[in-house]
Amino acid sequence: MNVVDVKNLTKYYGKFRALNEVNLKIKQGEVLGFLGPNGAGKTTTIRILLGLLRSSEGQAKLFGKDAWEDAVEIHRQLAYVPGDVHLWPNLTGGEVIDLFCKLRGGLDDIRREKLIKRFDLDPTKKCKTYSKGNRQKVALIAAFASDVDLFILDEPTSGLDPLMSAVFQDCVSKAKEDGKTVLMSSHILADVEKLCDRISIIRKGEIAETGTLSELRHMTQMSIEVETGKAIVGLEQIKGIDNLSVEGLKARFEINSDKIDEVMRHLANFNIRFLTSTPPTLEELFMRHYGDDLVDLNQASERSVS
Amino acid sequence: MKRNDFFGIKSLVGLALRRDRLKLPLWLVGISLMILSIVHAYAEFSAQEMKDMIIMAAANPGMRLFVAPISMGVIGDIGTFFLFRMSFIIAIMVGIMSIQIVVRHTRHNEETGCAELLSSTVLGRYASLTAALIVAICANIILSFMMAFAMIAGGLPAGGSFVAGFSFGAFGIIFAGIAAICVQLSENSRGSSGLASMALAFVFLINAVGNILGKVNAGGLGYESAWPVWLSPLGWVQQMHAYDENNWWILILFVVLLVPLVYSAFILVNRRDIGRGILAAKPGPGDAPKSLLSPLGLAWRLQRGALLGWMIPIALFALIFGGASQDFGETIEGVEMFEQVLAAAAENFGFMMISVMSVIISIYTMQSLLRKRTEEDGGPLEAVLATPVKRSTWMASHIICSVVGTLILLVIFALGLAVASEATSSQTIAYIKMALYQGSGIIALAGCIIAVYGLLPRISRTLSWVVVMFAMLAGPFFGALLDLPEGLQEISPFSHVGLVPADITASGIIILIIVGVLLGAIGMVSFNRRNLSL
Ligand SMILES: Nc1ncnc2c1ncn2[C@@H]1O[C@H](COP(=O)(O)OP(=O)(O)O)[C@@H](O)[C@H]1O
Ligand SMILES: [Mg+2]
Repeated sequence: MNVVDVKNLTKYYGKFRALNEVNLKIKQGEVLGFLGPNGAGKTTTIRILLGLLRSSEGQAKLFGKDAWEDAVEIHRQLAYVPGDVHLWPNLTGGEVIDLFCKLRGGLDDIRREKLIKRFDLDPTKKCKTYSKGNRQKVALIAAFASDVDLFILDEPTSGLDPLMSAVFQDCVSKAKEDGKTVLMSSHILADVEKLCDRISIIRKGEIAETGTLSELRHMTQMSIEVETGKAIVGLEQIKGIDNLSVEGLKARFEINSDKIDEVMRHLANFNIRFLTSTPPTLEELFMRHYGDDLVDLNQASERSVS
Repeated sequence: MKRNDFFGIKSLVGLALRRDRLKLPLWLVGISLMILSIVHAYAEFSAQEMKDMIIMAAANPGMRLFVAPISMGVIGDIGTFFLFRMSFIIAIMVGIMSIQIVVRHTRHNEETGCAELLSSTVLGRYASLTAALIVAICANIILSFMMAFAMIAGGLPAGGSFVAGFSFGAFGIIFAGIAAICVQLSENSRGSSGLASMALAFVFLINAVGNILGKVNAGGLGYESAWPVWLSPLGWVQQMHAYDENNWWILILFVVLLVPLVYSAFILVNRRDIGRGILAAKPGPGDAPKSLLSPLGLAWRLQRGALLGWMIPIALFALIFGGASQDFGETIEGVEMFEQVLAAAAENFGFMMISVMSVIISIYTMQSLLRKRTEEDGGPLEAVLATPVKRSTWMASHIICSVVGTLILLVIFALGLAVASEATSSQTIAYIKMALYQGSGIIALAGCIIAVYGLLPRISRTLSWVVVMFAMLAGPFFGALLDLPEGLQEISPFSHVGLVPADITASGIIILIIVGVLLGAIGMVSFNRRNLSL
């Protein structure tokens, strides 16, 4: 059975169409990455799934029930972490965690303590003194300490430092081991690719692509910058290299991640001194794969600069 | 204080004037036009009509809350009659304008991130506060002239018009100073405005006590205030007796008060971080008490602070007015024409006070009902409604807290009044009954606010204020003072409760409650069916 089943979901804000015929399915036990640049419609989709907003057309079902009509029943089985976590300024973090766990049905004290320790949160502080990252921690602890089947996480790592991101990833892995289902959105590819079984890419309110990571291999192109002791030759003969530029001892190019091994072997011949590899930003990916208007936009801004 | 602590004032004043290029002229012109039109309207009154109204107000403690003292030598004079009826409304409007200006150009700037960005580069520490005060003070001085010209244009003598104009301007400047302190003490701009508005209410009530205890002149024409008015800047405004004694010298009192106000505000600036209040947040318990762990428990926890903040002044004024009730009889003693009403007036004093206070308590009810909007608009409601809490459960929890809080305040006032006036137990019960009856008017109003919240969430804050202000102004105390048409006065729920037990009918009460419940149900159903407005 699909835990989440969204068919032809369309949402208008006034005249503005924020979602256009969105389809989304998540199977039991699956971790789905919901990927899209800012303003693509991730939060809107999630809020409709939670029955906070009404859809204009199409249907959204969770656990086989209607997201709007049966919201209360559905919510017994899920935990939600908003993208912008707002808490009550005069309640402490610990109080908020207890409250959300209780409202969701029950509190597991041992798990709560463990999570507070791992996320390194001081639960006695008032929420108004927490930074964005700390507020996010409160919401995450409250979610993972609850005994639910589905986690809906809206850009969960956007305020966390790298150490806490690692703790978060552990939590998601653990949830997956326990057979839980996870929907997490992000605008950073690297965040979701480590954890997700499948990825859905949304852009301007439309689903651009859905698939497993290997099906979306073309999305995981790396930018490589390298400096060597000897002049580099022969890179252009390797298949899958894009945007290559060689200047004396320096080279820059992009490569699909499944070709990295081959490229490294080749480069090793030239006495590597310095090498960086960066995953592309989502915007860059879109520019490359869906071209069109983003390219136009960039050219327009370049023109206006010059 | 170093010179560069003030660096950047010029650019901040410029910014403020640019941001307020519409708002500020609207305030100035609006108040002036209101004055002009009212002075015009009052020119129609005959001397006898004025006399009757003055006698009525002097014998009625509820009315004395809202009118200025007037001496009998000037009966029939339009200028003094105008101030007799309107001085406190004008003063309160000018006060609100000042509070808005100062809060907007200090805390509100900080919250939108504007001030922080600027203060790290070129702004001195005191620049933002100084700029806001400069704008507020200049606005009040300009307004003083405009008000004076409006009164002169309405046909009033120039000398008295300038005294009156500057008394209101000085009152506004004092409230700029009070707001300057409030913005340092509070955590956000809404809190600062709330605190400053409370100060405004306090100033009004202290002055009212002095007026209620004032001695009526022989013949019942007007009365002279008692000493408590000198504790309130509103009292100073009224004691200037424009068009009559023209006490210019009282302006000195305003200056004497302004200096320490502004000085303390500047000292407090040093003690707090940008974007925070001076009262540091203390750590609390790491686990929640059981009582918090339900929608009702949560709503109560969120609302009890504000309720407590209201309980203290309400109890205080209950004691003050209760004490005053024993003396009110004396203030009209010896006035021949009041002999027969004397007994009734003294007896009704308590009931009248309860009616008046219920109108003020309705402001608490509104603020408490609007708490729901704060939860929704950039608040935690999104996360709460993603748990298995029904929308109607959440809403009902908050409404229950608001209604119960309102009833608690009403009963506290009635009890305080009874205690301080040494009432008998049967009279105490009568007071409490009266307070609960007044609750029915508030319930009708609350239903309207809930409906507004359900149907029009985005403008619900403004609209609720408009609804409550209208209900107050059209209600029994102001409606008559403002000469509003009967039809308009009828719309206010307060016009239907009854001011004294003799006026109260069971059917009136029941209809008000039914109206409230129906409107509330409309609000609840619309909230259940609408998008969250996040
Ligand atoms: N309440 C609203 N009213 C009007 N437009 C909105 C509202 N909320 C979001 N939008 C618009 O809908 C689009 C999608 O927003 P959102 O779902 O928040 O995107 P994401 O979460 O992917 O960044 C954006 O263009 C945003 O400006
Ligand atoms: Mg978003």
